[in-house]
Amino acid sequence: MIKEGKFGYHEAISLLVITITTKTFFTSPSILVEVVGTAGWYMTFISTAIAILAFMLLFMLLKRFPNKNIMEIADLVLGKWGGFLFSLLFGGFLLWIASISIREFVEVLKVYVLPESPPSFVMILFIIIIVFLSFMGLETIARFAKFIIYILGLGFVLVILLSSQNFVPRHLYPLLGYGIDTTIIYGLLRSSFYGEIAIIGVIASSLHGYKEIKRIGISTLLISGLLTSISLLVFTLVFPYTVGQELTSPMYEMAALIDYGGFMQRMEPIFLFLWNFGTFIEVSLIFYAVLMLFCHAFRIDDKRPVILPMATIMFSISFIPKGIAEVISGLVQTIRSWGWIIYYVPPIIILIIALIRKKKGESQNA
Amino acid sequence: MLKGLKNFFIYKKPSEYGFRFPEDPEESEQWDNYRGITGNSQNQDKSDSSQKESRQDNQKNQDDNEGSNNTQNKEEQKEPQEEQQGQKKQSKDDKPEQKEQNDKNPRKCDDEENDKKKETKSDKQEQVRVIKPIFVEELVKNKNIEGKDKDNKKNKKKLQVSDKEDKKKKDESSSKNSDSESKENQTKQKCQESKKDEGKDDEGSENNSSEEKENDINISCKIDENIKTLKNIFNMPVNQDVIIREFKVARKIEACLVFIDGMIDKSIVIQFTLPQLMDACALDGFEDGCPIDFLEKNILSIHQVVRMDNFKSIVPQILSGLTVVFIDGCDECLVMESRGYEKRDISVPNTETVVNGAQEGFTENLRTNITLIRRIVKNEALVTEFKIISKTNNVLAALLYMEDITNKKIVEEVKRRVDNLDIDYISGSGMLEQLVEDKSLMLFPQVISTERPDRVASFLMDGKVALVCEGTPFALAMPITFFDLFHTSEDSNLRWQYGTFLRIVRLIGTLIALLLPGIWTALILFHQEMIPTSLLSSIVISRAPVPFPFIVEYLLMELSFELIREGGIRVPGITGNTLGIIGALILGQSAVSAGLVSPSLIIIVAVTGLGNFAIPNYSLALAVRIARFILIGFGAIGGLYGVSVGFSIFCALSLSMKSFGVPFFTSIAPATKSNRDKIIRGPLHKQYQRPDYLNTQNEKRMGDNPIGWVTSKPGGGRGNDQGR
Repeated sequence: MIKEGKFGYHEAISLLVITITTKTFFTSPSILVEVVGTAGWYMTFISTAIAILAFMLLFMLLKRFPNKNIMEIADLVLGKWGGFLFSLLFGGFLLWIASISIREFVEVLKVYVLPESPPSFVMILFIIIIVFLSFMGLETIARFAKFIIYILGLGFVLVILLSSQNFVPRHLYPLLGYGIDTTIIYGLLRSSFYGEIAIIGVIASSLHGYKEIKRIGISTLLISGLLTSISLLVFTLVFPYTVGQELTSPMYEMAALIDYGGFMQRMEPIFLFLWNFGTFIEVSLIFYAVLMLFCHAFRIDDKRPVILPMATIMFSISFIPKGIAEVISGLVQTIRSWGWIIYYVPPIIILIIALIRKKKGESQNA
Repeated sequence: MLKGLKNFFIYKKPSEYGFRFPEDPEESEQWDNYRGITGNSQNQDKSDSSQKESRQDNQKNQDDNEGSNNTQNKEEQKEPQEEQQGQKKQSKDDKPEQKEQNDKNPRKCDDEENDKKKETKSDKQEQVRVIKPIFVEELVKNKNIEGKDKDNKKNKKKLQVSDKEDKKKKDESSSKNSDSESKENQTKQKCQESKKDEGKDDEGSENNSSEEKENDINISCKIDENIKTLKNIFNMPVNQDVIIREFKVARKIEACLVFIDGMIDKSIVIQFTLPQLMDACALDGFEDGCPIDFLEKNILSIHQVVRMDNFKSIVPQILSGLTVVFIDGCDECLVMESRGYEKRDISVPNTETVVNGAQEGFTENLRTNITLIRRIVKNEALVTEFKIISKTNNVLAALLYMEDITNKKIVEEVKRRVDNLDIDYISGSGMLEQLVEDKSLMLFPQVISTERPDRVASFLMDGKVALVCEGTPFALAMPITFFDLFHTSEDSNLRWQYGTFLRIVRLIGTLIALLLPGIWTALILFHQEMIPTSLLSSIVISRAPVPFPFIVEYLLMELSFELIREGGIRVPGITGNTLGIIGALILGQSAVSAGLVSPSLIIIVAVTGLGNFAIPNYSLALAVRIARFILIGFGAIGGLYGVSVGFSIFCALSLSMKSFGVPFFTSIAPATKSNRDKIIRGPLHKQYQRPDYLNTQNEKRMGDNPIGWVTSKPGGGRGNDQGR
């Protein structure tokens, strides 16, 4: 049996921050420019605020049932079948997210780095590392995130600093983008960008109490918001919004533009590592959360026998989209805009039912 | 089932079954005697006949190969075993009764035994039967000697025991007419058992079974018996290493010295033991009883003397080079410290050389190594516990820890692992390391092995546990993290700026050794567009004449480099260094001239090699050498993406790895409190606390104001100023 173990504040923040912010390395920034123009870098703060609000509601639920994860709480509040349906719904949604993330990663990788490699081959390598990390357990994934965040942080800072040669301040104008109303509406909708914070409810048992969950959640969202905003700001400074919305991976392009003479040029290898490690951690956490949800729904104690079949299902699902266009313009766009319905609403419904039915955990004051 | 099939098809010599044909006339005679009796025993013991039949069936399979002429002989050889089994059962059944009788008349049985001995001295064959008591067989069991020697011994003993039991059976068959003889046999056994029970008051009648006693053989009051027991234990006179020097204490009391030739300091025996004991006046002032106490306190001028009464504890001491004095009439012996075998002098550590620091390394001698550590940690809280860690070669290991610093749970865990080893042979710390580590499948080391006493001392002061094992000039310390493998003792001896610089260089070396080959492979095979244009053009030009695919070219060079390294180590002395230089220069130059490899590749391989040499721990360097090849493979199949996958796998493995419960990358992942002493080393006086992950009893390693002279007034007060 895999021991989930416990991990601390730093590991949890590293895990969740990487999971949330890795999306900026792919197609999300260009989609954002398409909908809000140059206002993306501050629009994300609106999304962050909404995400913090949603997280606080989730936290109220977790606080009401201390030392329990969201699946156990759903069982207690909604009953056996209600809990089962919740776990199945949330697990299925996360499995879909994980599959789409893999597909998005593979498609982007194919465009820029491995144009001749078959997508299935790239995906198999990806599945290998996900399966490997899942067998090692959640504690190892968290430690891996903590270990790798130093490399990611260094690479991120390096790419941003080296890109400063390409900054053009006038690219920030018009400052209000396509209008303040559009910015606010999309800011509210795109709170789904931070939706992975809901996974904190799934892994709550591995964290040290609800007080730490609150600290972790708030810190994660603030750090993620800041990093995303910086990424979008830098990207907006480098590319005019008319160009930015055409790029598949603006951050990668930004790294490729770095040129400090004959030798210091083409810094994309640095960025490639950020891409890879970030996505490995993101998908590993989501996949592990899927395992936890399904194993809870079907009352399976040992996750190991489920890992390979579930990985095969994820592998198969990721092939459902017909091509890169369907992934980027259709699925990713939909998930970023409407994902909040699954991420935030079910925990709020559970909280409301718990309040109505006056259900509480056993040792609330402990 | 497979074993059965194997036995069915594969012919085995009779000797492999633990039997051999009698070789000398005496044994042949014993066999003849035995064969005369087996017929009776077969009739008597019907229960054994089924076993015999089954064994005979097996025997038939062999006989098909051997020929029918030998069949009868082999079957006859098999029979003693069954006979013994049957008779052992009988003797076990008889034991409680014998015990009761023995408890009633202990003195009587001694007298009877003495009388019996006098009778048997004249007859040699009889003597053999009397001298070989049951407990000799038990002793041999203790030794767990395997292989041919063991088989031969078993055969001998079977012969002896079967002789004895034949004799007993003969007696029994004629006992209807002569009951007194059979009673004598019985009383012999009872006496032996009663002697074994001496000094074991608590065991009582419940502990009569031979299994419980097989490790405990007490010293007899009679020196002859002790000598014979020792001769049996040490296989004398075949074994000529062990010296039993018989003499008389003060020309009165029979005594003997037992030691192993070459293991002792002869001056202790020649100057300080024999002259004192053999002196005619040695027993002046001694009144009556056992003289052992008198001799220990008044006569022997040896610095370390211990009394022992059990062969189980005495034999390892003799094997370790101590000298034992047996004295007639005493049920204890004196074990004297006399170790004085040849050993290597202390020399400079070969694998962990430093510029600024101590130049002493461990040797193969355990006592010397512990002394080297004690010379650095002059503190009464340093505890040294000795443990025998292997069953057959009885290798001694010392467990060292600071009583007031080290976490007790870590000490208990190390003890638990060492105490539960069940292995015949351990040659030294290298084998011990593999036997106590958490997971043997992991690539990276989980216990640190060091040749430097100062490093062990610093580990002990941090709250780690050290294991020093005789036989190799290395000590083990545990639990460890990656940073212990990455640091050297020189880091602390140098000023913090220099130490930090060296560590950064070392880190770059490690990363180059691990990642450069994989990344280079990926860039050349997959991502040429990522290489700066000028560099790319020079690589392309240099690779143009090379006929091999890149991966073949690279693996060829890496393999050549590994061969040079391995060859350089194996070739003795100065030739090894020469071979390394010649190999590197000529092979590289020739390979480029011949157009087999590109010059850029040679630079990459050389830089990788240098990076690997910068890794201070040999085990970690080897792990990186292996990991490098795996990453080349990943780079070849997936480019930089493949390298990322491979690197992530190694990261996940090492992050899930633990050393005695401590995660390998502790203080980074998981994050714990620590001094600034991971990559960047802070000033020495700011290294306030001991490693957090060790949960030491005393967390602070220095006072609140470690350099008090900064705040004290010049010319008076504290510290060095007091001396002015």
